[in-house]
Amino acid sequence: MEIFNTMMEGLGEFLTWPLPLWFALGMLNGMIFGLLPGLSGSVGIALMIPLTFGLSTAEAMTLFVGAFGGQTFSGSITAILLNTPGTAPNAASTLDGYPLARQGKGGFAIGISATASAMGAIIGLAVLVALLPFVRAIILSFSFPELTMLAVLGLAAIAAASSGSLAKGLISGGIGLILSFVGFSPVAGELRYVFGVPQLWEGIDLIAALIGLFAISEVIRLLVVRETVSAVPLDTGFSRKEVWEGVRFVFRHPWLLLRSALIGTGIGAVPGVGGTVASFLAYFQAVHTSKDPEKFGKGDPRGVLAPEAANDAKDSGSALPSLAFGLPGSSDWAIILGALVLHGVNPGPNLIREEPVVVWVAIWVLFFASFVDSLIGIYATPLLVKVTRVPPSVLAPIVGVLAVIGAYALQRQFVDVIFAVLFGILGYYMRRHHIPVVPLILGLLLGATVERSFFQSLEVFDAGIWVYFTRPISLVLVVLTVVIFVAPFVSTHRRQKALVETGVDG
Amino acid sequence: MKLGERNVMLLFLVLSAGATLLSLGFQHREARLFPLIVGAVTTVLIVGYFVIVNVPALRQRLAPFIEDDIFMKIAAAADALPEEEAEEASEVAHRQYGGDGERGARERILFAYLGGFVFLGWLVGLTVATPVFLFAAMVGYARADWRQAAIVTIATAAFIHLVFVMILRLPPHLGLLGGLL
Repeated sequence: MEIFNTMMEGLGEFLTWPLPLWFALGMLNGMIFGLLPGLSGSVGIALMIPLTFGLSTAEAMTLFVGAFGGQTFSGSITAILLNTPGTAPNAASTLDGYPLARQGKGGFAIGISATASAMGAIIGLAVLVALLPFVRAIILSFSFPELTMLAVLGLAAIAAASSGSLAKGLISGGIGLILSFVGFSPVAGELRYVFGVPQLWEGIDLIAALIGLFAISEVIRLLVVRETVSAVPLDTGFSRKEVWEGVRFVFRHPWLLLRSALIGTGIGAVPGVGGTVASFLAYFQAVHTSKDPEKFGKGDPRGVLAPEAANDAKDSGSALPSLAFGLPGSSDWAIILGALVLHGVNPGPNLIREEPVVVWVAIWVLFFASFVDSLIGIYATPLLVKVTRVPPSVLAPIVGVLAVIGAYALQRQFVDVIFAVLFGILGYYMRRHHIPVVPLILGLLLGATVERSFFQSLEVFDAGIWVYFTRPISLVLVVLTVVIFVAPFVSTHRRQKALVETGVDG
Repeated sequence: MKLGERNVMLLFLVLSAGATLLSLGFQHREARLFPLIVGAVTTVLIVGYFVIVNVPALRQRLAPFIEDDIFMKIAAAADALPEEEAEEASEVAHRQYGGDGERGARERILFAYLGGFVFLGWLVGLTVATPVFLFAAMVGYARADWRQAAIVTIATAAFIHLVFVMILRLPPHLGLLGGLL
């Protein structure tokens, strides 16, 4: 009953002015950045951080999650019509979406994509809402040892699951932790790694790092690579009837929709894995479970339905670790959680403990965003794709200066501009060499929490490091952390053994 | 291992090894413990990575540690494809403009622009440096039409003034020279 009350309180808050305004602005931002090939929705979210200064936590959450929810479907519009995915997870939709568009069925594919996205998000949200009470009960029993181990587990999981190898992920996380030690020690109060620079006493500004790693690095990449959008004429002259045929197609394939959405939710709930894996796995699942797999890749509508449902469901899935445990389920959530520090929300499971209404506001935003995004997509696709005609030579410098001004605006310190640019260059090279940036951000975000809660555990429980092994939840978290490191070796060993045995048998 | 990747890892190695050594000088045990452990572990990881990548026998044995698993290969492939295609397209476009077509050269030029922007911002303030950089980057680096660049620069400067100065009440940044006046 308490959950239901909080849920309704969240709805009431979401519908209270000016939250609908922030929702609309966030959606607009998400849709535009989702549409722009070469610039991900993360850039749009990072650029909005300075604008949230002075907003309440609920308002900021609405703006960020609105942008997060708005980007997913709009990225598929360009994937289907231009063969250029707006964001990486939309890449799977090009496989059958673009052939459909070339066959003159672009409207049909957009109808499928819009409906599968909305329905996928709703299925994912249903799973999230069903799991939330159990997760909340666990979180309420957390103390310092669990907080420490949760942060360690999160770092390990994201390092292992982020794109790139386990080693690169761990190194990136380690560097993030080292950077988090700059400034006053949270326990001893001693200054560390400041080299006589007073601006470093408070540590490296997380927001400057976020803006640099996510916005400036992408601007650099766009300007260096000079990514171009296909100049082919767009076929957007499709009829509403065609689009509604696509809508009906989704409801004629409920099991494929459900399977794909559950894959998306499951993958999204694993911190760091991300939507690209979810959409491609759903696509492969659709191919493998089909009676006529040879049709895929040539314009099979099921090849649009499966990845689109999974892609939006993964947003709901990724909200679970992010909102419940403070462990970002994706790079977008890493930015959102980092930005919430500005609003006094400490990273970790404090959000659901201290601000449950804000968590429900975020869930309602995701719910409404899935509908609004798809409806706008159905009715305004021809208008929306015009955004992609802005040349990168004009777009990238504008985004770059907005990012720099944003980094300066928060603390009015020029050193933040320098940090944002340096992190931008670092992020550019890290991405280029497949070194994941999310573990670095997470290390920077969680460093102080791990350090503080570790020493608090020792002080409060007076049992040395054994406290981590004598408390059940803490022990489970320790075991899970070990499993993350050992599992890849065990599975490779088994695979090699199986190969040897097959070779011997054969 | 590619040269660029090696350089990033070397930067990380210097950072982690330096952090470890400096942590030995911290006075309080509570201030020293985490930087020492994390710095040392990260240093060992980076050195280990270099060794594993360069020794074939170890590389095969410890493949799960240094190679992407199948999920990540899917993600990397999906991420990499558009960029590879775009890279190829941009090389062609760049040759048409008479440039050397090398990504490294473009990176150096762009970083020089960024360095110039930061220096100018420090000297005369972001209020002046922003439109100057915007126009210079569009015309000089990205080779946009100067008339289009001028319009975009004026519009962006007006937008920044509206949002940051008029709505968010951020005082204009005047830089070192502005502060002296």
